[in-house]
Amino acid sequence: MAYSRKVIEHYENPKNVGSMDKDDPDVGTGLVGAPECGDVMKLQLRINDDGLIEDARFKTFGCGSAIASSSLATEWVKGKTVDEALSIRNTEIVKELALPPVKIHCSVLAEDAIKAAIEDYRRKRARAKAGESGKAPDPVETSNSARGGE
Amino acid sequence: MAAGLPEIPEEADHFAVLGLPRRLRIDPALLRERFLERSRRVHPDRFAGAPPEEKSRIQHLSARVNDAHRVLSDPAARAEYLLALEGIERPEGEAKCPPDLLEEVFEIREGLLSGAGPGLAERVRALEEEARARLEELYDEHDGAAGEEERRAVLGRLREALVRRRFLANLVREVEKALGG
Repeated sequence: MAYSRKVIEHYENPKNVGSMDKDDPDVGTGLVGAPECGDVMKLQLRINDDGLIEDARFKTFGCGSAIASSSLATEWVKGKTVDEALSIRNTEIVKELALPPVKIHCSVLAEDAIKAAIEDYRRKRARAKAGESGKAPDPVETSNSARGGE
Repeated sequence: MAAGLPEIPEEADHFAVLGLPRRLRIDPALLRERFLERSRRVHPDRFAGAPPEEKSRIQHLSARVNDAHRVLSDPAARAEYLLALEGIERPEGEAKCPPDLLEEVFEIREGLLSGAGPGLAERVRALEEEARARLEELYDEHDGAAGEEERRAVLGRLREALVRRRFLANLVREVEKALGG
């Protein structure tokens, strides 16, 4: 399959590869996968108290399009607010990378990863708040939610 | 001899086409017997002298018998088909992958990169074997379900088990590729 020039650029020189501490309260982690092709994508966002995405990292196991989609996603979300990041649509990724129809699912994966990372961050925040308000969460719930947030 | 067209209603599903109950365990001998019997009934040779309209209908029926046989011969394809038939859609969003499986797959792929080879292949095969055994269990649970509610519940679990199996089959391929067979 012929990849577009932009896909090759991202593939050969991916931006923001790496990982962050998933237990950091300012970090949201999104882990998504596509059973159909076996791809897995981890996208992490560092979000400050103003809801601004300060940094983004990804690690993707998959084809060139999946790597390019996640690389582009990390570039796009940096400096955006959480709400702006949530409004990114996979179709924009498809357009930017000129992905062929068979690779659209890679862009969907990237959009889902952004959403999952922000969800994870919000869950963590809500939990921290509940903790601050003096109510100690019962142990069972804590261990469950910790697992869900990983 | 060839008087009259064999009746296969347009709305008949693959199970109905072959006159089989909607079960996930189908005796291969019975499946083959039904397939051959239906195939003979709709064999185009029997309708050599029939008007073109009738011939094309026979061709259509023959294709439906073949489709039914192809799908129902493979247990996993049969299960996928039953889920679609009963309106239990395949999850569109990739995010619907079971989270524990994603963690595991991610870890294994990372391990492959860092060269933690042979142990991983075994781990993945064990996982795939587990997924396969789980499917087998669910086939039996489905066919033995006490009531419709229970049967639907099994179908829900089957949905997830099939996703898991597919993911792991892909992972096995990746691992084998990475380890050179």
